Formats: sequence, C-alpha cells, structure tokens
Amino acid sequence: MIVKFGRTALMAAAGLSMALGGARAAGLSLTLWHNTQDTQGVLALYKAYEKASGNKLVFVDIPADGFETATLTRWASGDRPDILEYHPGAADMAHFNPAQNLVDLSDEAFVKQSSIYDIGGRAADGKVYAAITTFPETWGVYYNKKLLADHGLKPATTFVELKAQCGVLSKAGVTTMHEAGASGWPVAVEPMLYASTIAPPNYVAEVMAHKAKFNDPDSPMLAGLKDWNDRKAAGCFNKDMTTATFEAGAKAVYTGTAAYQMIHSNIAAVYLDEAGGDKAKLDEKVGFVQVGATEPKTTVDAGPIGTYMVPKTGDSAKEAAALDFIRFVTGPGYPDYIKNSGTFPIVNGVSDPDASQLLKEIKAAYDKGPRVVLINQNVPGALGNLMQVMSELTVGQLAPQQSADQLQQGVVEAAQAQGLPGW
Amino acid sequence: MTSAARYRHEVEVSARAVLGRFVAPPALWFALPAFLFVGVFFVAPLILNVPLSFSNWTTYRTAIVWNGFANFNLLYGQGYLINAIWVTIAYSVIAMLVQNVVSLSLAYALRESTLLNGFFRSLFFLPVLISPLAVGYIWRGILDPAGPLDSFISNFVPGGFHYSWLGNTATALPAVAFVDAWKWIGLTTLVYIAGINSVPRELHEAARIDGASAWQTFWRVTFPLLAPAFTFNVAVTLIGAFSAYDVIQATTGGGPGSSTRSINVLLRIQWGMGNFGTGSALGLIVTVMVVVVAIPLVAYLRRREV
Repeated sequence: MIVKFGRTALMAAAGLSMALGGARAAGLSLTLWHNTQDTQGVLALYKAYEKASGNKLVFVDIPADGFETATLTRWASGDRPDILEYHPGAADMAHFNPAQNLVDLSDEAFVKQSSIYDIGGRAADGKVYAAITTFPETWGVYYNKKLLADHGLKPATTFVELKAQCGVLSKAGVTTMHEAGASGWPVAVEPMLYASTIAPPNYVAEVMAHKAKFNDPDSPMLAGLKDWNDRKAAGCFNKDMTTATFEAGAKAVYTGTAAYQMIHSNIAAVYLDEAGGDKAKLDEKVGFVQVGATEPKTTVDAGPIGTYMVPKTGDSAKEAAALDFIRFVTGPGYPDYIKNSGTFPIVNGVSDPDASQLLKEIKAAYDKGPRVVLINQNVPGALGNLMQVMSELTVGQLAPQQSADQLQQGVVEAAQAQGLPGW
Repeated sequence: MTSAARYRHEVEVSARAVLGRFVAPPALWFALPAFLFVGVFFVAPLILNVPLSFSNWTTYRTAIVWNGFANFNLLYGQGYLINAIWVTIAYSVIAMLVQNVVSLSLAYALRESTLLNGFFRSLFFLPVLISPLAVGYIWRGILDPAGPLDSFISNFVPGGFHYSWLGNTATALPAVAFVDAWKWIGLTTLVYIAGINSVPRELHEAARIDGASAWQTFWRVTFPLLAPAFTFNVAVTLIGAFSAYDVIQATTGGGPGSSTRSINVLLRIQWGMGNFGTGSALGLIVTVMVVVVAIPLVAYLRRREV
C-alpha cells in the first residue's frame, strides 16, 4: 500500500514537472529575497507558483525603504537566495557580477516574447540575466485637471511648457510642481528625465568611451540641472520641498493644491488610495501625460517589482527549480497575474486588463513615445550620488556646474570600482 | 585526625596552593559572559573593520584586496568627508550640552524620593525605552510646518507660524541634536540623581549654617562632588552622539543639503552604493574620533573629581 502510494506520488510529481516544462523535483524550498512593496498581484503570483509546482517559496522580506542597501549588504555577506528580486538595469545588476554569479536567461523563450528586454534585463555584456513581468516604469507628469482648466492651461508635455505655465500659476499662488525632497529620488529623477529626452541616442556610449562627460558645458545632464535650478528660482516648487514626501505630492495634486507631480507610473496606486479606491473619482480629478525637455517623449525604465534573477548557488536542483519559477511567472502564470494586478502586459499575446482611465493614459503615453530609456540605467554607479547632489542643489550648497562635476566624479569612481578598462 | 586523613588534608592544601595560581578569582568568572559579549559583538568587529578600511571591497568584485589609503583619499577627494566630520562634532556637542544641562536641572528638581518625583522620573525615562527610529519619526511629525509645534506657536503669532525646522539648513542640525538629547535625558537624569543623593547631607546643612544661598550650595558643594556622575554623563553623551545615525536618518535623512550628513549617514550612503571599503573607512574614522576625544576628555574630567 505504502509502496503503491509512493509510486503514485512519484508519477504525480513527474507529471507536474512535465507541466512546468521540466521542473526537476517538487517539494523544494526556494528562498526568495523580495521587496515588501510587492503588489497584491505579485503576491498572488507567488501563491499560484507554489500551488502549481508543489515547491515552497521562503520569503526574505527586504523593506522598500533602503531596499538596495539591504539587498547589497546581504549579498556582500555571501548570503545567496535561490530567486532574487531586484532592479534589472545594467548598472544595478553590475553589483552582482552577473557573468559570474547569475544564470544567463538569454535563450529562454520569454525573452523573444517581449520587447521589454530592449529597456532592461540585460547586463553590460548584452546577456539577459533578469526576467521582467511588470509593465515598465513610465515617467511623466500627473496633473490636476480642474486646476489647469481653471487657469486656461492644457497639460504640459515639455519642460519648456512647464516653465511657462509656472509663470501663470505662481501669480495665482498655486504650486506648479510638487517636489518631494524628503523622499529624495523623485527630485533626483527630474534632471535625469530632462537629460534622457535630449541626449543623443549613443550619449552613454560616448561617456563610456571618454568622448563625453556629464559635466561638459553641453552635457544634457548639466542642461537638466540648470533647468531644474531655474524652475526652483522661479518659484515653481512647493515651499516645503525639503521635507515633503512623494505621497504628500500625490495628495497635493489630487486635492488641487499643486498642479503637477513628475514621477513614474507605479505611483498611480498611491493616487488610487487618495481617491479611496474610487477609479471614477480619480479619473475625474487626475490625468497623466508624457513629458520631454523640448518635445514630448516618454522616458521608461524597468523597475524591481516583479523582476527576478537566478543566482548561481551551486545547488543544481534549486537552480533548476528557480528557473522553472521564472518560466512560470513569464509563462503559464502570467495571464492570471495581469488580471489580478490590473497592470498592462509586457508579454506578447496577453490581453490588457480592465484599467482606469489614468492607467490607460499611462499606457497611451508609453505607446505613443518616442520612448527613451532613463539615462542612468547603463551608467556605472547608476548616478547613485544624484540624490545627495540634488539635496545640496536644492538649498544652494551647490551650483548646477558643481553638481554635474560631482556626478561625473561618481561615474569615474564607480567605473574604477568595477575595474572597467580605460578608467 | 588520623595520619591518613592528615596526609589527605596536606595533599589538598598543596594542590590548592598550586592550582590557585592558575584558577581565576570568582569575580572574573562572573564577568566572563560580559567580556565574551563585548568581545564578540564589539571588539572583534572593530578589529576586523581595520583591514577592510584599507581594502577595495565593493559589491562589484569578489576579491578583497589591500589598497592602502585609497579609500581615505577618495573620501577626501569627494568633498563630503570634512563636512561630515564637522557635522558629527557639532551634533555631538549640541546633544551633549542640551542633555547635560537639562538633565542636571531635572535631577536637582527631582532629587527627593517622593511619590510625585518617582512618577516624573519614570515619565522622563520613557523616551529612553522608545526606539531611536520611532523617536525620529515622531519628532519629524511634531516639527513639520503643519505639525503641533508650529500650530502651538501660531496661537501667539499673528498670521500663524509655519516654519520648517527640519527643512532649513540653519535649524535642521540643532533640531535633530535636540531630538537625540530629548531621547536620552531620562537616563542621564537618573545618573545625576544618584550622584546628587550621594552627597552627604551634612555638607549641605553645614553650608546652610554658614549662610550659603541655594545657588552657592549647589555650585560650591553639590556640583564639585557630582564630578564622577558629570564625567560619566559628559563622556557617554558625547561619545554616544558621535555614533548617532538612526535619529538623523528618521528626521532628515542627512538633509537638507549636507547640513545633517554626519559620518554615519555618509557611511550608509557609501554602503548603499556598494562601496563597502569606503564605508568601513568611515567607520574607522568614527572610531578614531571617539578615541581621540574620549581619552583626553575623561582624563581631564577625572582630574576634577574630589
């Protein structure tokens, strides 16, 4: 009886493994380092995998605040997960020495099924080491519809228009752009958005080849810093910008105390919370458009949520199971994930979910393009010191040129730390 | 006693005399767990940190290789290090002064062991029990322009008062240092209370009989005899503030600009960029600062002890 049961169980496991496209064994425990900001859709995806595979995911929660520091510290201690959730930009993946420590996913079927791997997931060697499931972070401006309409303004799609509208809105005592100095990263991204949308397509390659620098007089990054500084001097920003958070910014735009917030598409969830979950109410008040330096463009990057890598741990059974997790989340599990999460698919052949008007505007901005990748994604160090530089620029401790000098210095230091040739 | 018993007794005495040279006194055995704890969790990491401070340890490379003073040169060249040292020193001095002045005053007011004083001693001790991060977040809300402090002040200022204590470079550092001091005042108060109550009452009575005022009694009698408590509190508060990180991170994150970017905040920034060698170097700098300040300070303060 026991032997018969065991034989049956083995056959069931084999059948299950065939259903997952070749899982070697069921009943394994796989450690997954995950961001605590994983959405409900992502968490449901994990449960779906466990049910389908018979494996157990053991979660190591990494708080969203300080996510990068916590992950890198654990990694540096020698600890390795079976599945790693992290940013898929080349500059971010460089921290893990991917060629040595991550499984190459380039030949997996899902790579050919999505254009997302033109945006992220590839390391500097061109190979794919990260599997992405979530719609890319699409940068633009959220705006309060009534506030703009009351002042006879259309949503700005360039930084030039933003500056012009600032003149009108400031006279009326309205904050044009809400800045989140306490959060840090939203402020840091603004000059990067400007730079991303005016930089020549091969700009980063030129920097890497020492033909251009971020602190050159004609550098797009310097232009972005100058533009931001000019708008600050013109009074376009909120008075409490040094202590405000991006959540407060979403509230300010939603309630109409600020006209715009420049931030990425994932923050739509924060706006929905402001509206108490009422999509109709949100759509009535808030819209989203793309924004470029001098012409409308859409800046994108692939984010960490729902992005997975397989570290080489030396345990072939677990590495194989981790690979099957990746195949599941990008394959059989993907359509239900899209339905549960309400986010747009990045894999060909999967239908769009029923989304709010705001999310449709975000998708429209993405589709309309032209699309550019956020400028720091493939730069050594990912301009990691930009938050500190912008904090000092905010209070006048640095001028734009000095800020650009600091950024260039950061790139040099990161390239030297990586041992890149020629640096 | 029989000869056999006498012989056994003599052997035992001789053995104890020999072994006694190798067996530690009982006090050391009791202290051993504390020594082990400090050794494993404080001394060992400190010692291990030294070679890492002189290494090229980053997330990008697997091998950790000696690189001399490159990390220190890099930190100096970035232009952040000197500012961070000054911020750390200023923060520590402010926190130490506020903490000791306020706690000495509170200790003098609460020196008598009454029910009411006991209640207030417990009340002032409560912040000591709260996590520094929680303290930082609470005060971030209190010091917000729309927070309760400005709301209270608005009652007395025509047109309202909306000042960003943590958002202005002039006030951010003193404000954060005050928060740090506020958190630990309860502890230093208890030390001062113990010190005040250890001063013999006869000396106060003698001073009063001789016509000394309350202030004269405190300044000429109590305060000199408080020297051991004073030494302890000043040294511990100053050195403790050198290591401050959580209160700063929770309130300002090192901003606005670089106004509260202490060495430990800078260490975290370096760590977050995967630069563990330079992060370790910053840790070593804090250690050296503590040693350079603590030893002369304690030696000087000990000289005034009666």
